[in-house]
Amino acid sequence: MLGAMLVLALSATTAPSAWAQAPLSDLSIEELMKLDAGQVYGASQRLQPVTEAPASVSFVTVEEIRRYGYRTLADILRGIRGFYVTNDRNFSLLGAQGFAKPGDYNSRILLLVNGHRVNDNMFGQAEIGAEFGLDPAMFERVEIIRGPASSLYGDSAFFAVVNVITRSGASLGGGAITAEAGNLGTHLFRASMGRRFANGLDVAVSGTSEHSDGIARLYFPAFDSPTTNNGVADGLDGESVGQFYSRLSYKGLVVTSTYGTRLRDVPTASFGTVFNEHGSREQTTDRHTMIDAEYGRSFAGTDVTLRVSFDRFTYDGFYPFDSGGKDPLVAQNSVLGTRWTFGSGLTRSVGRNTVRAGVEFIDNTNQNQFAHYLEPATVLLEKPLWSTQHAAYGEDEIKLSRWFIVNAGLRYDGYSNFRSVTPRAALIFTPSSIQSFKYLYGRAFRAPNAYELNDYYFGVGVSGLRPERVDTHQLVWERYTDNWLRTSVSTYWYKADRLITALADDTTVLGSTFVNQGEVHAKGLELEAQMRLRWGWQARASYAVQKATDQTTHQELSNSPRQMAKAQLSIPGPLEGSFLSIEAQYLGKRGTISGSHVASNAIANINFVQPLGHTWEFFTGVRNVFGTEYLDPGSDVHLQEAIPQNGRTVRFGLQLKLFSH
Amino acid sequence: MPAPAPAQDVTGPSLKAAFIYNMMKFIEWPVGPSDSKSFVICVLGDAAVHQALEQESKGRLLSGNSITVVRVNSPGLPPACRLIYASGIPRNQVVQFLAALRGAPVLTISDLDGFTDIGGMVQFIFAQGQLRFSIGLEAAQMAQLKISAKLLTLAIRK
Repeated sequence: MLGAMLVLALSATTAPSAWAQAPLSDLSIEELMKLDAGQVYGASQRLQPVTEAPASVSFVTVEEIRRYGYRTLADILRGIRGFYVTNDRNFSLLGAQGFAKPGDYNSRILLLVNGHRVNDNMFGQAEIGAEFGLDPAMFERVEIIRGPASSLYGDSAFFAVVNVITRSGASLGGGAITAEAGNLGTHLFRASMGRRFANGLDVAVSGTSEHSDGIARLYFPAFDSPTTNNGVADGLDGESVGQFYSRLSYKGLVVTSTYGTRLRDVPTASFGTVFNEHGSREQTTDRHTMIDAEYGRSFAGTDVTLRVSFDRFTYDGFYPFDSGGKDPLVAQNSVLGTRWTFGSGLTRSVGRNTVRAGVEFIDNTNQNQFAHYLEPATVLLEKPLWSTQHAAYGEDEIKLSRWFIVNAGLRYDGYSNFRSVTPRAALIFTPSSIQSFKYLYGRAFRAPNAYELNDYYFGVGVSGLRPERVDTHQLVWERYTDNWLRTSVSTYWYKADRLITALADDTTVLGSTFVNQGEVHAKGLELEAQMRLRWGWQARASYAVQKATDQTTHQELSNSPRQMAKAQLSIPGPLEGSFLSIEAQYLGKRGTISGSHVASNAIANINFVQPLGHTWEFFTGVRNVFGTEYLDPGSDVHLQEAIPQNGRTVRFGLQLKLFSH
Repeated sequence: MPAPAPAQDVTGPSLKAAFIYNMMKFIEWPVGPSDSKSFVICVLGDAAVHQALEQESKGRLLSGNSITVVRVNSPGLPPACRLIYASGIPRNQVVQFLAALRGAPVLTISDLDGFTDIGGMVQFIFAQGQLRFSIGLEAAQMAQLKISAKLLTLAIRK
C-alpha cells in the first residue's frame, strides 16, 4: 500500500491525476472552513504559512484524532514521519532523527501545551504516554516541528518541538459523555462541556478516568527460573489514569488548567527489584499540574503577549528489593518539581521584516528529590534544590523578495553555572506559492537536569556538567499539487556532542556518574505525501531512512532504526457520516544496549467511527490488528534485553452529545 | 457528501481565493446603470492570491457575468472594481483606500488584523488551523451590499 501511494504521489507531481479530489471552487463554504489552512504557530511563536516556516512541519488535527482513535500523544506521534516510540511498559520514549537512547527521559524533545513548556524541571521529561496528563480528546491540533529550536525556546528543543494546541469551548460545541471498554480490562469515562457565550467568554471543561489491567501474564525469558515464577509477571501491568482539563478565554486572556495523574504497575522488575512481587508492587505515579495564563493584545500594529504559568510535577516510585527475609525491603523514590514561568514577547512587522522578540524568567521553586525505605523507615536522601533561569531571544524574518525569505534567530539562556547562546538561520526560496525550498541551520542545547546534577547520588563531579549541544542542517523541499497533494522531501545531518553519558564510578553512592563525553553524527532522508483523493478519501504516506553513529565506538546508536515507513488512509462510509481509518507502520530492526538487536516490525491499526443520529456516536478500534509479536529495546535498568509489546487490543465506545448546537 | 477532514494539501492563497469566490455567491450588489458585462475583482498587494483567483474564476460566471481579475496598485483603484482583496500592504494604505471607498458598492476583503474594525467588510482569520472570517456588517450596509443570513451565521462573531 505504501509503495503504491508513494508512486502515485510522485507521478502525480507532474501530471494531474484522475484520483484527485474536486477543485476547491466546487466545495461549499462550510467544506472550505474544514480544510487545513497550512499555518503553524510553534515554529516562530506566531502564525505563519508552513511553506515559510523555518522548519519542516507536520500536523495532526482533532478530526484525525477522532478518526484514527488515538488514545495517547504517543499513538499520535507513532504515525508521524521520522518519529518512533519505544515503550518499556512504564514510560514511552520518543525517537526522532534516529536518536532514542534507551533509558533516556525524552529530554531532547520539547513538549509545549499552547506554546508553554511542559517538560518537567526534574528530569526534563516530555511525557507522551498516558502519563502526559492531558486527554488527546482535548487536543485541537498537534504541531510537530522538526529540527533544533533552542533559538526560540531554549532547553530541550534539540531534535523537535511538539506543540499541543488544546480545544476551546467553541470547538467542543456543547457537552459530551463518553464511555469506552476494551480487552486487557480497559475502560474509560469522559465528560466534557464547552461553550462560547455571546459576550465572547469561552469555556471548556473536561474530565477523564481510564483504567487498564494490562496483559494478565507477561513472560520475560530473562527471569525464567522456578524461583521467579518461571519468568511470568502475573497481573502486574495495570495502569490508572485521571485527567482534568479546563480552558477559559475572554478577550485577549486565555487561562488553561490541567491536572493529570497516572499510576502504573511495573511488570519488568526494573532497577533490580523483586520479580512478580504482589505484596509491595513496583509502581510509579506521575502527576502534572499546569496553570497557564496568557494575555495578548495589539498596540498600534505590535502584538504583545504576557504569560505567567505555574507547573507542578511529582513522581513517586516504589521499588521492592530483596531483603533476604519474607517481605521485600521497599524503597520509595520521590520528586517534587514546581516552576513559575514569567514571559513576555512581541511580534511586529516593519516593511519587509517581521520581528519576534521576548524575555523569559523561570523560577524553579522546588527541584526536590527524596528517597527512603518504608520499613524500617530510613531516609536515604533528602535533597531540596531550587534554581532560576533567565533568557532573551529574538527572531527576524526578512522577505527580501517575493521568492526569497531570510530568517535568523538567537537566544541567550542564563543558568546558575553556565550560559548558552543558540542561533538558528533559514534561507527559504518560494519560486511560487505552491512550492518552497529551505535550507535550515540551527544549534540547540539540552541542559543537565536536576537528577543528573544530584551530587549525593553521582558525586561532586556532576556539578561541572555542561549542556549537551547539537548542530543540525536541513534541506527541505515542499510542493503542493493542484490542491489535492502535498509532497515533501527533506534531508538532514547533525553533530551532537558533549552528550551527558552515564559512567561506572565506584566512589559514588549509586556506583555511577555522568560526564559530557558522547558525540554522535547522523544523517537522514525523509519522504512524505499527503493526498486528498476522490470520494473523500484521505491518505498520507512517509518513508524515513537514517543512520546515527557514535563517534567514540564507531557503532550505530542502539534503538535507532535504519528505516521507517508509515501509511494512513481514511475512507468515508459505508454509512452516512461514518469513517473507516487504517494505518500501517513499519520500523526497521534496532540495536539493543548489549549489542544485539530486536527484529523489525510491522503493525496495522484500524478504527471505525459511526454517528447514530445527531446525539450519539459509536466507535471501535483495533490496534495491532494482526497481533504482531514484537519487542522494544530495554535499557540498563532492565535485566531483559528487550520488552514485549501489546498484541491485538480492541476497544468499543459510545459518545452521547448534550446541549450541542 | 461527508464533511472533508482538514487535509494538509491546500495552500493558503488558493484557500483564500476559493473563499472569496464562494462568498460572492452570498452577496447581492445593488444594480447600477454602469454595470458592465464583466464582474471585476481587484487584488491589492497579494500576488499569490491574485494568481489563485485567476485560476479559480477561469471560465466561470457570476449571475451570468464573466469574471475578470486585475492586480492593482493603490491608490489608483479602477472604478470598475466590485470586490477588492487587499493583503500584505501597510495598514495606513488600507485605511486610506477604505476611506476612499466609503459607501461605494465595493466588497472589501482583507486578512489585515482588525480590518472589520476600521471599516472593512470581510476579514480573514486563522483559527484552530482553519480559515475563518468575520464580517463588518455596518460597512456593508452603508455600501448597500446585501449579505445573506447564511454567510452571517458562518462568520466569527467578534
